[in-house]
Amino acid sequence: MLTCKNCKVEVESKIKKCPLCGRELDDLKSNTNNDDYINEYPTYKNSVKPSKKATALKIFLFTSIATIILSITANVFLLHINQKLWSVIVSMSAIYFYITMRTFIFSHAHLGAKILIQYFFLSALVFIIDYFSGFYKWSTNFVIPSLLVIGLLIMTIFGLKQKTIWSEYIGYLTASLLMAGLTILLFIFNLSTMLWTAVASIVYSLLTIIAMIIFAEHTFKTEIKKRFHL
Amino acid sequence: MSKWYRIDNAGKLFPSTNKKENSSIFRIAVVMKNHVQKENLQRALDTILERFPMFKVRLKMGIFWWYLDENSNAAIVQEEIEYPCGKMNMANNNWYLFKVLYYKNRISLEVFHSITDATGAIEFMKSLIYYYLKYSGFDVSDEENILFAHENVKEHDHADSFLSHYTKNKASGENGALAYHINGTKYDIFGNNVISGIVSVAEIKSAGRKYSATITEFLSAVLVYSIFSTRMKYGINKDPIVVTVPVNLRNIFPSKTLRNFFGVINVAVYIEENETFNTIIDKVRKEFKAKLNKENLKNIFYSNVNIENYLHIKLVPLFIKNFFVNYGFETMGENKKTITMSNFGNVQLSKNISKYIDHFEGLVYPSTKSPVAVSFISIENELNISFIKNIKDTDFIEAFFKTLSIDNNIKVKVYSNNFGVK
Repeated sequence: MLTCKNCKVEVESKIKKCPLCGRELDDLKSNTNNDDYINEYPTYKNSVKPSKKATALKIFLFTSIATIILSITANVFLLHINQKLWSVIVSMSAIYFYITMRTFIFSHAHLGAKILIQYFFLSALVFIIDYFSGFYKWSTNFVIPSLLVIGLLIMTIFGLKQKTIWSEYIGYLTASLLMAGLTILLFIFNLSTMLWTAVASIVYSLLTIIAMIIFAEHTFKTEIKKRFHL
Repeated sequence: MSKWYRIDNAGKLFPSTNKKENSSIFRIAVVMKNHVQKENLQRALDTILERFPMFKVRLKMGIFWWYLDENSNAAIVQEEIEYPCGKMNMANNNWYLFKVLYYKNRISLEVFHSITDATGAIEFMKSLIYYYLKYSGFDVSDEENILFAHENVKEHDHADSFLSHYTKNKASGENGALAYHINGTKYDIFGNNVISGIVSVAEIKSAGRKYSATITEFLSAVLVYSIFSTRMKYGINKDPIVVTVPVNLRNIFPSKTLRNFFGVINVAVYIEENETFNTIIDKVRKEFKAKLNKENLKNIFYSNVNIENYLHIKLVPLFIKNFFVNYGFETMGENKKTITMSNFGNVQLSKNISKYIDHFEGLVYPSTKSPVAVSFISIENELNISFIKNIKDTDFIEAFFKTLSIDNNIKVKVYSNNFGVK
């Protein structure tokens, strides 16, 4: 039985040091066996090793930032040779790359959230490419509305495949409708010239939501109640 | 019975302030007389989980508040590897907000505070232990004190008692003073070190009786005295030593809920010249008398529930609320306490079960500005007092146990998880 003379307490410990004062313990009976250590805790790791994923993500972050800084610097210094602001395209690509890596490697977020993030950043990327290469408006007229429809389609397919988590898509589908509505603004501010593609994407997302309300009314109502409760 | 829950008033705070230095994870553990068998433990968990639907949840973000949704994944018992009360990685835990861990003789239940408090966790633990022993082949019939798996879940089990006892009122929160803070040296890697002492309930009771104090009052006084005698040796600090004591409101307002139903009182002791243990315990008893009564507790929980009912609070979107809750927590809550001392109570189990148990352990988490916390829990005559800290310093803990062992002649058995100790 181990004791500490300084603290006047009995100690159960595999280390012969008193946890209170640090002094060496006295062993009154030399027949302490392993059965006495019923309070044993596991041995903890002495160092925290970052996982391979964490290291990979750090590499991606550094490469992206380096790309952005180097391209902007080069662009500015070579402006007298080439007037185009190509570094904006490169920078946006680097940002998109990092975001994609982060959401798909590291994130535990719901698939709906990942799709929406992809939609947002991919739209920004194609817009920037379009804007800085003549701005023929192919991004706002065709690509961005199509991305929304594709994203919604993926969400619907996955939601139908796994009926159990269908209710979780409700939030993301509603958000998609809002995003579709925002594409009208692109038309209003003359950033796109075709109204019908924007309207088509709004109609598609509206139909998806209406289908959801009709075919899964109870789930939809409960989900709204959960998300919006005060 | 709904499959989702609004988080109760007390639980609303934790998802917003949750981080490594403030994990909001508390632990109830039992040290059995024999090694724990993983298969029987898993079977026991599978059996009782349906009886505790408020545990079978996952945390979700609403537009205005966090909420608890049904969790359809399997809950798996895990071998204990990490230090106690660390931040819970829910993604790696099948999105559950609790963990059942085993290691050698110890079964631990770690719980994120949004789903329940100590009382609810202890009920869960008792049922878990009952079925664990049953599946291990022991005769545990005639047990009356536990919630059985085959019983129906009752409405009052998952009631939000904060709301059921709430009425419109004009209560306002108490304006506590800024408290003295315990500082210390952090470990090389972050983690929680645990130092526990086991004493006899009878010996502590009789020591307290000498000062006409209850066990809680006596231990609070020993705690304040330990902090004072080690940290204010070379200069009295004008800030009071404030011990935050969670109080089980079920003793005062009728409730059988297995979710949160507790309030918190701040026992503040201003240190003066020539302070002794006697003068300190006098001050502590006066504080308990003033604060541990129905009127004061009503005032406290009414004012807390009032906050969540203000329209200008309700309608703020969650991501903005999180920021302000965090800010308020740090500047107001954290600045006004020195240390939390939690009394988990006496666990009621028949001799049929308790004969397989050596003792219980309770741990609350340290917080951002309060790197130490202490709690105590008892079964039969075994009282376990456990300190948890993320700093290397042990001076006030040494003083605490020495006050018991030397000044009050109480027999103490000490052990530690030795985190950070080489």
